[in-house]
Amino acid sequence: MSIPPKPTRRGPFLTIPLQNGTTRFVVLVSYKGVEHTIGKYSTQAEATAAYQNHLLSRTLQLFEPLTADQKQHLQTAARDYPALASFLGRLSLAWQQLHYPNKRANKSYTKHKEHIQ
Amino acid sequence: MITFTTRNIPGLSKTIRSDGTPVWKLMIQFRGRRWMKSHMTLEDAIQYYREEKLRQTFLKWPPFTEAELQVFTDLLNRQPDLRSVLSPILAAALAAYEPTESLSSPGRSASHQRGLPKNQRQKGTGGQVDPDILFHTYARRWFEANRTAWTTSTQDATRSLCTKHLNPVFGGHRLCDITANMVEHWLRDQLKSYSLALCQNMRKALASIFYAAIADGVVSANPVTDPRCMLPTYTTRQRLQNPH
Repeated sequence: MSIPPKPTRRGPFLTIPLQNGTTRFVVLVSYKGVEHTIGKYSTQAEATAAYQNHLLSRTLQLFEPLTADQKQHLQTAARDYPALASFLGRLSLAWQQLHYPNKRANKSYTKHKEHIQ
Repeated sequence: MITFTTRNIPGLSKTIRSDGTPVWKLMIQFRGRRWMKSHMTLEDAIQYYREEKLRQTFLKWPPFTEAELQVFTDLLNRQPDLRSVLSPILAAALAAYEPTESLSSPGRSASHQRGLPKNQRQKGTGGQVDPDILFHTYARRWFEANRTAWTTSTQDATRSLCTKHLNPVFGGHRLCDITANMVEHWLRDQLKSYSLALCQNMRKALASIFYAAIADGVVSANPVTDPRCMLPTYTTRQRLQNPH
């Protein structure tokens, strides 16, 4: 039985070769010293696009969130101007509040398990 | 409503001029480059910070074609509600596709940067430096120039290294008078009293100060990178101590 090559990490991208010969791309980002997975993708292009969208989303946290009217206008503009549809679509998707889940430390996890038992 | 302070914007600091007016200094670091901009108000500094962050984000995006740009301008003219939202985005996206050479360079000319490793270029303290400057004065200047880019713990550790270990030995010497021989003797003494890791940290800080001095044109070579001033790594030391 052949052993698939090891996963390789290059910047935010973790490339995992699978048994069936395909590859899975995991995108990891760091927030306040903790790494979070933002998604798993089957192609490098999808992973790159997801990472770029995430970076844009992070930058847009510096701006005031869009109002409902502005969101509506953006959607209308994306419909009316097909040349800009992909750009405006990515922009409106990225312009939302980011939430990183709180990761539990191992110590509290052990306590939690003890409590359950 | 987002509240911006010096705590949530990295590189932002507030200084008070002698006439009492506040100045907001924003240091941006990106791809090994570093530049400082002074702003009269916090709003201006935040505006610049936002634009710069957006520009950095759009660097990897495909540039707009002429037709797309035309459509975008048309959209802004027709929909005034979206103008306030999309104008900074468009400006940043366009700025991202401009050649980077147009950005102001913080460092000195290339002649002062010769012989520096890639990651140490343009990291001088900026401004005119007296060629006869004493080590402790320059170390303070280097520390002040870099502290905004460091966390509080790094600042404390570096301050401690400078005041406890570097200044007592080199503080009174002119920067240009410090030789590799002096550093070698000092390192040998330090290794007798302190751990290898601490000595490596001391050497690292000293080397950074000299790299900044090269970028500022005060010295022409870094005495700390002389082969005589190299320290063994942990594994090499183990091997030397236990050859079998």
